[in-house]
Amino acid sequence: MTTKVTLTSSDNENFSVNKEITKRSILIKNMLEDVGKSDTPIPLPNVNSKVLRKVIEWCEYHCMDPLAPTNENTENQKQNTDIEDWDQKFIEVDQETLFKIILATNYLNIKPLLDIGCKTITNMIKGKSPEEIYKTFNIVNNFTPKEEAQIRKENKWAEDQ
Amino acid sequence: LPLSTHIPFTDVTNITQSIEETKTRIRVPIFNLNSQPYSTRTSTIILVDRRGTVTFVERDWFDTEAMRELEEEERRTLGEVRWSFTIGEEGLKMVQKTVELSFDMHNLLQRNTKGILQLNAVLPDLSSKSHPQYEHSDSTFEFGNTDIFNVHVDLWLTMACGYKCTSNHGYRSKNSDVIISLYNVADALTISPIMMDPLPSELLTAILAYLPFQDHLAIQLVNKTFHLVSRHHPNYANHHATPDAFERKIPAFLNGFFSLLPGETVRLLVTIGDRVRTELSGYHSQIRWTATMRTDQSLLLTIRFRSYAVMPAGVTSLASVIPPETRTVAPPATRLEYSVVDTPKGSDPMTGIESAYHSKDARLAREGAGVGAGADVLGDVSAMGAAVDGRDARVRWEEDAVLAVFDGVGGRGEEVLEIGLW
Repeated sequence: MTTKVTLTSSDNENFSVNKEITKRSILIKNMLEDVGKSDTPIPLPNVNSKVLRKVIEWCEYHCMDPLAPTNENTENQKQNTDIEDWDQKFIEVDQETLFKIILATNYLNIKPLLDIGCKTITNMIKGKSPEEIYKTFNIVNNFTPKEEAQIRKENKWAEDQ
Repeated sequence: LPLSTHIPFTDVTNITQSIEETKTRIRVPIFNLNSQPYSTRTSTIILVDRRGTVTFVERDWFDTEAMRELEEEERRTLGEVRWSFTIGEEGLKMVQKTVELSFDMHNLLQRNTKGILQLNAVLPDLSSKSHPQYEHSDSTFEFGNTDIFNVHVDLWLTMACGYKCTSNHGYRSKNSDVIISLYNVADALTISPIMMDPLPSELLTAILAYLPFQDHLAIQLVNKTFHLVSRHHPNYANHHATPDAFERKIPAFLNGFFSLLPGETVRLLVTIGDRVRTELSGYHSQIRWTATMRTDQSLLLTIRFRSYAVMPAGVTSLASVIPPETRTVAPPATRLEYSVVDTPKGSDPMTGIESAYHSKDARLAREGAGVGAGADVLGDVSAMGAAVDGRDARVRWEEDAVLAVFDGVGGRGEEVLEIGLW
């Protein structure tokens, strides 16, 4: 029985990975179920080799973790942004890679890693002013001064003690 | 025009000519990052030194607290922030060899209205008789931190328009903001951080799920996408179409407050009517809930109301129609970290309580508890005494809850234990 599966990144690099490890990804798990025993490489056109390597590294480290529920309600999420030490170190990448990991894990449907990525971004936002957030993420402010003043006016009420 | 060259205006008394010349020199900084131009709502100065360090000097032009435009002097003192990054050798080569400086005023208008505002602020001074002299000596350019300017002045990119500086001649002129182009350098740069724009809204929603209320207020001012996602995010506000719809959910809503840890505060908005947005429509009201779990585990709840109305002409009026209300909930309230305990066997009320707890049906529970006669009486209905957790208690029935009430001991108020809550 084949225990390995080949994943092909968007830049055509092949990764031979233990099948059980790839099942951390719901997308790959479903694909494997669909293709049965075929040895055909699984193309991942939305993930480049650099990011896929990182994702595989994470899956290998967490291979023994229980699978997380997939239907967690965002509304009920606790606002706990703590990240485990290993994961914290793992996610210490430049912003571009971080965003790519988030997009990749969203595509691959690996919720625990997606959560880590989202929490990392959240921690970068927490406690910052709008101006600091622009600068941190290079975001373009597309409000007109009038719109911005209106929002500040609306929010002042909510901010008052 | 070569970069690193400062071109004086031909005739600063000729406004028309100065405007034309400005058009060929002024720049908004444009970085093509994922096809999105970089721009800011501030006036921006970009400096590049020999070591390839790009410094953005950004100056707020608007005091959002006082809601007024800042004086130029204030922009330099209060509103200035700096941001630097290194472009590296490749970028630096581009800086040195790039000469193309085409410019299109129409583009500027479309891309960055702030640039125009800035331009307008500068131009009247160009014809001012009181400041006839325009220094272009970098060494006297006045900024908060002059190190960069004094040492590395010769690698400035092309200056946008005439600026005035503090001279040694005793007149103090305004230090107009200068906008310098890094237009052609941008393509050669690999700039990190990148923008968050590629993230789809569902991922933004996931990211914002971890943010507390206060951070949502900040994120709403970042840009329109963030504003929209945050305003509709459950962490920021719960939305209900009608007051009745909200009334039905109040117990579940309050439940969240009871799960706070001692010392924790949470704030939530409830919107009844139309959802909040910048372009308001119709009428709606908002209730702001601020809940603090005290260390004695009583819950302090502050409730504020306001209503919105949009006039036919589109003018929004805001009115806080009801004064804030602060109340302590069930002092000392208890947190929902227990279940029914020590239910005395054969005790009808407690059987009823247990039934209530499991059935989640207040009417059924009341009947099960033997208080059927009062089943239709809403509000407090005290039943017979019962023993809960080894202590005597009264059972109080409320519309949507069953409470065990302990009499106060030693001067303390009564203690209320929620047993069933719907």
